[in-house]
Amino acid sequence: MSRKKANVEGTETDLTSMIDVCFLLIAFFIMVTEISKSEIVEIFLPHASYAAVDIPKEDRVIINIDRKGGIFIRSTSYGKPNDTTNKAKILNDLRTYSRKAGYDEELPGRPSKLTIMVRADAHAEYRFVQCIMMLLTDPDVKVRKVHYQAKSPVGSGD
Amino acid sequence: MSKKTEIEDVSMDMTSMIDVVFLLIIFFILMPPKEMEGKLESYLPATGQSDPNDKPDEPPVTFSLQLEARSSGDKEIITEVRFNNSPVCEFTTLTIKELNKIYKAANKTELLKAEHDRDAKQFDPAQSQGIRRLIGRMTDAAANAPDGKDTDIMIDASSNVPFKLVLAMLNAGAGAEFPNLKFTAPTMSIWKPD
Repeated sequence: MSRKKANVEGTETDLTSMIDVCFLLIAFFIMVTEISKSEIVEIFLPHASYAAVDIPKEDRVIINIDRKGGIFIRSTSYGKPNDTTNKAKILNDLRTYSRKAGYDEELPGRPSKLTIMVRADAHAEYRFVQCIMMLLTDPDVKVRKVHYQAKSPVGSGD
Repeated sequence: MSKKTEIEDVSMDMTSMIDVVFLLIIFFILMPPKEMEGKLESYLPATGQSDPNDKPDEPPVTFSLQLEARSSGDKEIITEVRFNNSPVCEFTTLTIKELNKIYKAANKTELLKAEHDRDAKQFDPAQSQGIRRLIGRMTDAAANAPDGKDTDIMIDASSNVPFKLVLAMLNAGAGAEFPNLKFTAPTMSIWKPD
């Protein structure tokens, strides 16, 4: 009499669910990882313990100033602002951004609604920041207030 | 006679795809997180184009915060901070030449970190006596001013001051709860080409 062969059930695991979870995790991490355009330039930001939390706004203009004074706005490199040609290019573009943003009719002097964030390297000379500040006060740009970006320790600020 | 068409079992080996998926997950988990960034705000210098109808009867009371840099040898710059023309403290920073050497050095990251730690001791109100002294002077002056802490503080820094010092002044003002930090209009020398 032949023995009945024991029925050995296959122990295959269905990996479909695990693959679904893996893809969801990837999608999550891709979405939370920020590769912002403002970080194209290597800038060593100064620390400021009382810096307020920065909530990025999509329509704001970020002006990057590297330690040698080079100006970068929206992935365009302009060079140093104290050069006459560069100054004219920067001013022209700032006027365009300001026109697109519009002007605040309710405030005296009708300042621009343009939001400016200056990301200046800690080692950049103040005169390059001054050049940008003066361009922003141009009558056709008319920015009244500027934000300066700084590294802040976790938990500090507002 | 009917031929039985053989249906091949087409199954995909998912092993490689799972490997790739796990590698991607590990990559995104390990990617360095973006460092916390904050912002400080200030008003831009006045251009002198004011409406004559807005002229006040009396000039408003303002405080002045002056930063004057001078070289101390080839390697360092000393910046003197004066509040309402009275000396408060001094800060020492590296010259552009010395910084360029650091950026070209093989151990650039460590040298920059050392410089950064020195700056933190000088500029962070929690660690710097100079900054705390400045905040004290600002607060005392505000106590006697008609607008109190809403008084405008005009920051007048020489063009060769490193920007981190100017930002440290904005930070000190923010810490002392002065909302009206403004910059004085610079001289035309800022437009001189290098």
